[in-house]
Amino acid sequence: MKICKEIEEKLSLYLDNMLSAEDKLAVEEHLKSCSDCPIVLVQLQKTKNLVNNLAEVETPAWFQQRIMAKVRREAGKGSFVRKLFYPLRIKIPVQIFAAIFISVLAVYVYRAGEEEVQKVVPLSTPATVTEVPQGKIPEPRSVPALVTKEKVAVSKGAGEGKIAESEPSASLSLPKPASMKRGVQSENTRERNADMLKDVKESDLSISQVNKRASISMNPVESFNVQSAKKKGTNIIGATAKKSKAPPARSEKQETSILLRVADISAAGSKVEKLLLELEAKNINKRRMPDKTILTAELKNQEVINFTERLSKIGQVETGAVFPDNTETNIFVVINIFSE
Amino acid sequence: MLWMSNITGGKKAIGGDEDLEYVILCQKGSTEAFEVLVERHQKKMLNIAFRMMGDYDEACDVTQEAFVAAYKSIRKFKAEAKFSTWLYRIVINCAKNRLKQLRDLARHKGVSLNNSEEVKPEDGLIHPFINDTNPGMQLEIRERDVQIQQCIASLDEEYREVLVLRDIQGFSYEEIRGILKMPEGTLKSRLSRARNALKDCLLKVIGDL
Repeated sequence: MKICKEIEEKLSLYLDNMLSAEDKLAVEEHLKSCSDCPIVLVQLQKTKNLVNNLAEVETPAWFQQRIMAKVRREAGKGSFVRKLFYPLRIKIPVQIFAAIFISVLAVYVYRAGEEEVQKVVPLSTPATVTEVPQGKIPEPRSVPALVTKEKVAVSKGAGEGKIAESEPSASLSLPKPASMKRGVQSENTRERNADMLKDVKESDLSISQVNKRASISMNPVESFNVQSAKKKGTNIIGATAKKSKAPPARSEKQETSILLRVADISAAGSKVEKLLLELEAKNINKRRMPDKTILTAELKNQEVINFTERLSKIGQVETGAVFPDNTETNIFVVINIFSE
Repeated sequence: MLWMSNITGGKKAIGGDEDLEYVILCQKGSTEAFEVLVERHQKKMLNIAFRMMGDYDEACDVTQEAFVAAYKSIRKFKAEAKFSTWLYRIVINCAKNRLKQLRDLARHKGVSLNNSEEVKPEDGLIHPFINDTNPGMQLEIRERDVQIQQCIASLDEEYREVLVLRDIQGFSYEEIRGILKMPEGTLKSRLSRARNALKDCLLKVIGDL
């Protein structure tokens, strides 16, 4: 039986004549002596014949057409890619060269554009604008106020023997350089022995002139100069006041000079001085000279007439300019006492 | 007739392959040349597919798919074997893939594809190979064919393919080895088992052979 199984496995190949000579002989020998294996052989042969005789199926009428439709559709999909890259030997090198060329061109254009931008950018940088602080721009109207404050400060300072130090008004926001102020102060001390009347007059004129300029000019530098000039004049006055009595503040103060002829200059000088004190004059200053005595003071305008009348009792009076009746102003009075 | 071919890169092509010149044209993009190849091989392709699938419609679909696949990969064909060998391998593979899909689908649905115990004569009506010679004979043949086909379908795929190629299509052992890329020993043993299994199935279905 075991042999039959081995033979049965070879029967199929025996039918196809695919056995070796040895195996073929062994099968034939077995078939002669076995009763079952020949039956199996026959059945295998019939099976093979049945399968061999199976009818072929025919293709449908649309079969080839449908296949080709699908094939052509598939061909259309790949044609674009094929056109791009085939033939490989020609198109690939061309496409590589084209890609390199385009990238080089792009780099060149980018760099050229960058240079242009660099040329343009510096020009477009906005110029620096220096702003002049509005507060620095001087206001002409406030200048007199500044001077007034300075005068007040000087007069106050004179009583105490100090140099007046004035601060600029709020309208003038220019800072007062301390070094400038100190320099002016040192200069003032050197000019103590100057002719005070002459200096005062000159400074009054200069200040008035400067004030006029200040009213017109908007230049902060000029206004500063004006301010410094005023300070200079003020400080000079202050310096002289330090040595002697405080000199009268000049600028915009009306003044008059009175000539008094007397027999005794010294006695008359004392009388005039007492009279000024009696009339509440300010900044009384007395100077004795060989041939005359000069008294200066600030006198209220309303007292000037009274003062002049009382002077006439002391000696012969010769008055100067006539003043408008403005009771609020002080008159700077200069009394020159001469001998008859 | 031997000639040099660019396909093999200078190697000599297999002699006697009448399809080669059309294959070369196809590789250059000619669909008309491919149509010639379709006309030559479509019937055999369909029959192989039919015997593998056991269903005519499924066989038509598989065959079309195989031809399209062949066109898509025709540039890969190197004339180391006959074009037909290469073509039939494609249809066998397409059929096996489709069978696997159906098997997985059936398993998912809980249905068995093996109908060898229930062979119905009316199944032959779906087959379009009607012969006009003898109607009575045709019916008997058709019934027998259906039963045989059912038994073939009951075989495992590895046995089925060797049986179809050898006993139905008549390919030689060498050709079958080329198509299935199978060693000779494996082919012989599988064919033997396929025939024995079919015999046993037919004895059950038909009775006395």
